[in-house]
Order: sequence, then C-alpha cells, then structure tokens
Amino acid sequence: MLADQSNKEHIHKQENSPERALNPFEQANEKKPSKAYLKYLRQKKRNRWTVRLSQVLIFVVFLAIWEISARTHAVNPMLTSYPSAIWPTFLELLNSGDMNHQGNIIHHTSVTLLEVAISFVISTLIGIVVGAALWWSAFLYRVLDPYMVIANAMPKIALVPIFYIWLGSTLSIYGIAISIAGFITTLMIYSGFRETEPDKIKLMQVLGAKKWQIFSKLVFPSNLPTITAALKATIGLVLVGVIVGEFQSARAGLGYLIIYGSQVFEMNLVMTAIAILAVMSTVMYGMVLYLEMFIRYKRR
Amino acid sequence: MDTSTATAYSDIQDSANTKLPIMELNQIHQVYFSDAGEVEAIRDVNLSIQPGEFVGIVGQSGCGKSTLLSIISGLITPTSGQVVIKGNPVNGTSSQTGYMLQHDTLFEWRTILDNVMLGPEIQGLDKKKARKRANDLLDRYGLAAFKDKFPQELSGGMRQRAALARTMCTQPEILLLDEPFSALDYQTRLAMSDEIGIILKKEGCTVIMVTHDISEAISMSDRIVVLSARPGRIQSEHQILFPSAGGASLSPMASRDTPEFGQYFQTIWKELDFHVSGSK
Repeated sequence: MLADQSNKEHIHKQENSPERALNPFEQANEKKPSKAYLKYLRQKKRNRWTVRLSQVLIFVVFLAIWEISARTHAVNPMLTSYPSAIWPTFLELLNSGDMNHQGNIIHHTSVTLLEVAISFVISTLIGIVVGAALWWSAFLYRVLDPYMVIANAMPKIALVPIFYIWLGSTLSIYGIAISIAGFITTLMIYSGFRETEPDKIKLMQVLGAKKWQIFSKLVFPSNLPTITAALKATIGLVLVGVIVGEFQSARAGLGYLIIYGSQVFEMNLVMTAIAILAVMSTVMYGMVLYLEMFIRYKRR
Repeated sequence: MDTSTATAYSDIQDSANTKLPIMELNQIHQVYFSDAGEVEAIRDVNLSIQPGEFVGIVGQSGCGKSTLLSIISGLITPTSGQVVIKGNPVNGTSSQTGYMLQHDTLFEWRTILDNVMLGPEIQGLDKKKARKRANDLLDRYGLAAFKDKFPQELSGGMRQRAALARTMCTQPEILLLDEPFSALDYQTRLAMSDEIGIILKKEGCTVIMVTHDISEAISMSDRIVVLSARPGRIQSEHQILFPSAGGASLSPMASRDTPEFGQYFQTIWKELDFHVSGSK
C-alpha cells in the first residue's frame, strides 16, 4: 500500500517538479505572449538602457568638464592635468619608462599588482586560519578578544614608519597591507563561522562527528558565501595598504609613481597612475564578485 | 555496532519469550546551571521502551522534552541516572540512535544523495554499501527523481523525507524525532505525519517522538507519555489502541477518524490543561 502511494505521489511530484514551478512564464512562452506582456518586456529593456546611458553620460560629462576647465584655465592645468593627456602619457611611459629611471609603466603596474596579489592571498589565509582557530577554541577567542578589538580600532597607517624601519622598503609594503586587511578579514570570517546554524552543528554531533569533521564538512562549506563577502572588503583594504606602503618606501609601483609625480609636479604622471589604479582595482573587485556569483550559482 | 552483542541480545529475547526493552531510562535527573541559578529540567524519569514501539512524549514547551531526547542520544550526560540501550549504558553519541530535528537541516551545498550520505561519511562506514542504502531509501521515500537535486529545489515535505532518509542511512536502532513536523505548514504537516508514520511502522522502527501537538502524538504513537511542567516528570502514560478498528493497524490519518481518538485527545488535553491553569 505504501509503495503504491509513494509511487503515485512520485509521478505526481514529477509533474509538478520544481523546475517547472520555478519558471512561471514557461507556459506563457509556449503559447503566444500577450501584448501586455510584450509591452512589459519592452518597458523593462528600455529602463535598463536608460540607466546604462545615464551612467556613461555622467562619466563623459565629468571628463568634459575637467578637460574644458583646464583648457580655458578655469582651473590651473598645472594642478589638474588634462584627461586627454592621460593616454599620451600612458603611451610615453609605455615606450620610454618614466623620465629618469626604472622601467616602463608595465613594470610599475606589475609590481603593484604582484604586491596586491600576494598581500591578498596572505590576508585571506590569515583570515581563514585565525578565524578557524578562534572558532575552534572559545577560550582562545575570549582571551584574545580585547586585544583584537584594540588592534582593529587602531589606525594601522600609524604603523607605517615602524614597519619601514623594521621590515625595510619592500617587506614593509606587505606588512602594512596585511595588517590593514588581515584583521577585518579575520573578524568577518570568524563571525561567519561562529554563526553557523546551531541545529546543523547538533546534527553533526548526533551523527558522531569529530570537531574537525564539523569544521570541514559544515562550518567551512556553509561559510563560503561569508568568506567571499569578506574578500570584497579584503581586496579594497589590501589596495589601500599597498599604495600607502609604496608612498613610504617603494622604488617602483603605481604608488611610487603617484608620489614621485607629485613631488616633481608632473600631474600627467600622477593622473595616469591613478587611472591605471582605478582600472586595476575595478578588475580585481570584479574578479572577487565573479567568484561570489559563481559560488552562489553553484548553490542556486 | 557490535554484532556479537546483537546476536546475544536476540538470543536472550527468544529464550525469555518476553520482549526485553530495547531502551531504558533509569532515574534520569537533569539540572542546568547558569548565572541566574540552577534550573531543574527533568526529575526522576523512568521509562522503558520495547523494540518496534512508537512512543510519543507530549508536554508543554519548556518541560524538558527536547532535553530528554538529547540525553537519550548521548549529546548530554544527565546529572544523574542512566540511559541503557540494548543492555549497554549510553556514553556519548553513537550510531545506535538517529536524531531528526524540527528543521530538516539539509546542507544546501550538497545534493540530496550527498546529504543522505553525510552520516555514513562521518562514521566512516563502507561507502559502497552506504550509497546503495541511500539510493534504496530515496527510492522508497519517493525521492528517486531528486537524488541529484539540491535541497532548495525541493518542497518542505520532500525535504523532510530526505532528512528522514539521511537519519535512516546510518541504520539507527532507535529513532528520535524532535518536533519533526512543526516547521511545516498545517496541510503538509498532516500529510507528512501520515506518510512518515506509515514508513516507520512498516519498517518496524523503534521511535521516540517529542511533540506539543497532541493529535499528532495520538495518531502516530503506540504509547503516549505525558510530561509535567518543569521540572519534567512522567505524569501519566497512555496505551493508544483503537478497538473500533477491529485490531487492524491504522494509518495516522485513518486513526483520526476513530471515536477513541477524540477520547484520548480529551484525556490528554485535560492533563496538560490542568498545568496551564495551575501555573498561572
């Protein structure tokens, strides 16, 4: 009797299978879509394009105002440079290297890129490892809590000179980037770990799971979305740390170009470096965003 | 599980020709400590359960029902007293007991099949056999077409059945259900208690179900234990029989239509109600 029942239901459930339920328009599409629906689709498309267009417009207007006010000397072009100067400067830097020394713009960009990538990876690993340790031992968390609060509240920029003295010109860049990003990453990841559903932990315990099994099969995988969210903050903070570090001590990198350009009053150089930095940070943020979407998609 | 004890156990059972209890609670006493003071959750609970029996435990919220299940499962060691399963005292969690919670707690990053495989994975059981068992269970519970789906793609009732399959996949001796249907909407809840009731009866599982829903308890259980308000003590026990059905075993849904059902409900309701007005 039961078998019959479940069989019947099985068929029934298949007919109503969720994929079908998830797409309420499927039926409407199979038939002819109504006029009102087509209108709705057109309207939606138009809205999307209006938003895009406005976004582009803002950017174009911004560049235009900048260019015009510099050309008409409404502002001093010595201070602001011109947007139209950025591309030529870029090409010039590409071919000749900067005015006096140390390779071309590709070199500077890749130096910064590498520093950001390494600091990002290390900050993330610290975040996950320390977050896991704090989750593992409630004692450790309770002991370290006040120190972490202080360390987190402390403006890490204040440590830049110390890092420079202690770690030297190259390592201090990593030191600053990691100290700025590492704490936030750790705290965000830890709070995700801690808020793992108690019912699921109970389930794991009932099934006889060891603590490391609870971590590897539940706490870590269930927090992948939390971790990617933390990485969005990490990437931004690492960029801040690396640029500030380069300001202090570097011989190469975009931060170095910016500080060098401003010292010799070469605003074209400064603006070009900033433009490259803007593109770079956008691309990196986009990559983390893509990772997040990928994980979401995997879980639907 | 130790197979030799299992054989010895069934031998004794045959020779004595009376059923030995599969589980016994001896003088269970539980006190919680907090900054606010001590709270006595459970006092002097003695209970023995026969193999294949379905026991419903009802009581108001906060009477220690769930605590009792946690103690049986070995999650909590009682302040005093002992849980004995098949002659062996319970000491920590083991695969003897399967626990089903109020929420299905399926892992949304695992497919249904992988969710069912969670228990065997953790306990390090033979993967191949476990996989076969998982497949069988899902087939029997009407989830054959959903093995590779993710929990989010299933309805509430299907998810609960998947959770049952996950619990059964480790082949527990005793199944503990902690308000298993209370997170479902009313219609689904009725359907699910009927469905799961039939499955469990058919497979001859020993079940302890905690609920605050008296009707649910009556429709599914062979015996109902009423717990008093905190500290939880056994206030009364009711053997649930439906003579009007002429000895036929009724599905949970069908039992709701019998005249006895209403009588049991009235009796148990009064016992619980007394405590509500008493505590006011």
